Amino acid sequence: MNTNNNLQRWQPCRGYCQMNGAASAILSIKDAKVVMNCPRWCAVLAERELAIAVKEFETRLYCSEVLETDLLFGVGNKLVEAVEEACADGKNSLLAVLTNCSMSLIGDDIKGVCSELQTDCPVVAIDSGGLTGEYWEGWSNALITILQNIQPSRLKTLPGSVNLIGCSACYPQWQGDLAELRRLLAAAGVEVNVCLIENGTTLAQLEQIGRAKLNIVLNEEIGLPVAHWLEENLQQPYLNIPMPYGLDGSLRWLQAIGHALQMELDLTSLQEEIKWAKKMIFREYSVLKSTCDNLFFKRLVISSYYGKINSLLPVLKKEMPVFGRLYYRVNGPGGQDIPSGEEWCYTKPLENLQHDEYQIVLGSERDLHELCGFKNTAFLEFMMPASRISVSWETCIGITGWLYFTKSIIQQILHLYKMNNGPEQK
Amino acid sequence: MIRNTERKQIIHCNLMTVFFAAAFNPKAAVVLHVPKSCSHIVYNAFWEMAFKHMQNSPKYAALYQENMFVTGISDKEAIFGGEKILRKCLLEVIAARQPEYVVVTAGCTASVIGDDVEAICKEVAKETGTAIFYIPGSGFMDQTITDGTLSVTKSLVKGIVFPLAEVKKNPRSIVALGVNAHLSKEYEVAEMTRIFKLFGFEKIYYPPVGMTKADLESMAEAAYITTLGLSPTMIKNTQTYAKEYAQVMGIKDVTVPLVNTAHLYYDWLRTFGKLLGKEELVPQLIEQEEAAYRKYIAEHCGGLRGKKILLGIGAALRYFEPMETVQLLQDAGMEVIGAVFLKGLTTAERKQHEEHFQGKLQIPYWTEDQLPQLQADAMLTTETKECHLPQYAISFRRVGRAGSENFYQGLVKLIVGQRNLLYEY
Repeated sequence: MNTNNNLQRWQPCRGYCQMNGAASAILSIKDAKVVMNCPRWCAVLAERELAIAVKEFETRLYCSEVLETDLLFGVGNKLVEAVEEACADGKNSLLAVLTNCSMSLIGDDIKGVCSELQTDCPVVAIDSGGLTGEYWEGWSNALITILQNIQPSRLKTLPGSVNLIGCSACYPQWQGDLAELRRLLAAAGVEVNVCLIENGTTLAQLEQIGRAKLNIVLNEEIGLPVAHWLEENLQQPYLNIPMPYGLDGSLRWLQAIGHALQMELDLTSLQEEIKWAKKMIFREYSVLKSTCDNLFFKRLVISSYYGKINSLLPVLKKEMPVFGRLYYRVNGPGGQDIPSGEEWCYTKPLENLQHDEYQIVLGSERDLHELCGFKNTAFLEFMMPASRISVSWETCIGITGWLYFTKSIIQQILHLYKMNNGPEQK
Repeated sequence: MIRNTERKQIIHCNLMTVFFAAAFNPKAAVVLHVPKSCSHIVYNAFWEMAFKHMQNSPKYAALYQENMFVTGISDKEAIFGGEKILRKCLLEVIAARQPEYVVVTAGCTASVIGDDVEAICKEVAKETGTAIFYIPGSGFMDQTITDGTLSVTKSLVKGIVFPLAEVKKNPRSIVALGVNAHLSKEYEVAEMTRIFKLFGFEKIYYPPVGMTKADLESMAEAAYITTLGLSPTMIKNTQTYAKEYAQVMGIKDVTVPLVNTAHLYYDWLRTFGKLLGKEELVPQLIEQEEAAYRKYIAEHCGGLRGKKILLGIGAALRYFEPMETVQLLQDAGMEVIGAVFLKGLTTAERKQHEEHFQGKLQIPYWTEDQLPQLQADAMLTTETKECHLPQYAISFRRVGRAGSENFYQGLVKLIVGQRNLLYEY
């Protein structure tokens, strides 16, 4: 069949839906409940994806069980019943009613219904139908709605403090990433005030968001709209900087934050750590090359959301220049300004791999199936999971992460090479 | 929790099964007229199901060609209508991929905004000369389960097969409706094919999955049609359609509802043989099949005799008929010692199960919370639970003799092989 890049526009969505993005942001707030105002079908699938990210989310998720007839007569009573069920345990910090695409079209006054609900917590209504975006837009809109609702104010600034904006519980490796970011920042003398939005964040913590001197946008596609809102409403400046991949990349990341905070950061201990990490990586890479005579890294393919690709791609060229070609595919918004690499199109299959050629795939299992060549592929999950297996907590950012990233790829390739060339193959 | 609510209103979206029906058709494209987000559900579900089959049968992997396209209805279309974007998508997909035919279906959003999807399909088909098959359905707005396999079959047959009704019929050829031959369990289609061959059939069609236009055209030669309908909730519609197909094509409908146990399977053979006018073959076939079943149990299931089994039931009676499984357990000398109703069941669904057991099987009932106190050699369950007992996650259907043997094979592995968790596949 012929292929055509025009077909790019008609590709299926590889992320999650907008309602799912909104739910993941809300459920990250401690004791918050979500009622999805939609048919059961949509809710069950969203529940399943959210539970892969954080199993406990499913216990705080409810559905109004909309049917076709409700489109004609309104969903009022069903919504009230769902809210009563959600709030029955009396342990509620916040209730969000999320409306899906078909329900948002019929124009029920969900905000009106919500304002009349008898609950023991604040209630917000959020239109999260897929007509205006996907997971990313849902996440940002929900957080902005929550901030509008709690109306945080600019407080007395903690010197050398930052908020981290743009961390989602459905993103791969989010726990490990946050732990490493906190570690790096603490080692450099920077305090993390609030992280938007770490699972288990309380409303009281969110009210303190105005204390930080600077907001750091971690993943632009979700974090930037929130940082804009905070700048506009709290006059809080932000720094939009890619996540710290690579060893030198991590140092540059910290230096940029120090500069924005107008602080002289003490990076001595981290510089020592980096020296040691470089030695470790070189040693392991040497083992790989000395063991595998004919090894050739044909390509690295990354299929992920904008923040991940924009952070990783430039660093790969500098700190892991061992492979032939670099391909990327941005899932979701953004991607026009990515500096290096070739776009991997939906309609343009990549070449098959020869026996001694290997590839590194950073994406979802779906991408792996699309690319094939399992026997010659090192794989790390770099997209929201497409299978029911949750993503590892290990991080690939910072110093700890870069060690894990390179080590994991080297180990996988070494294993594959031995499997493909070992005695049982001869 | 969504799963445990007493307010449960079962709803099914048409998108998934429509795509599944045409995903492996080598020269087809599928266009979903929905917001972009909806497509991820279809895409993810497809890969989750497809991998297992592709893994076992590389020929399926070779057939799959990324043929799903999405119009991506946005708020702009919600105001001005989505017909323009559908038209553009169809024209670009046809120009770039040059498919033999395009399957189009829409979700609930298109229905709410009132797009005339069928009219656009007709227009673009006329303009491009490419066959476009519109599959009715509007996401969840149908209140019934949409059987994509059947809907796509109907549409393709109407456009390609029915015009060839006068073609000479081949008495050794049969159409089997109601099974997605590429996403069903591998043994199921193999077993059905084996059974059809017992009656002398040489050419067996399982529309519409994996079929090109030429395959569909050659299907017009079939002298018989039957309904497999592996999904119990959808079988009636498939049976009704089989009658219509038979009438239009002037062939015989030899539908006998599929059954789930070896015993019922003998009756199935009898009725099927009678409908085909081949009664003389049946006694010997039944004798052969019975002997093979008994031999299988004697040779492979000795380690199951006397074992005490709990049933874990988390699916409503309309999906899971437990007495069929009980029969298989008893055939191999096992004892069912009770049923554990799992948390996914509503009160009404649990009551239906209790009433169904009455007069058939006297056993105590427990709840999922009581599970840690219960003892048994294994639990056969419709969904797996964190549990101290070895668990066998069972399937809801078993085709022919192979279905029962496949069931025992897993159970032997679990109990005799001392495994903790196995899936009947």
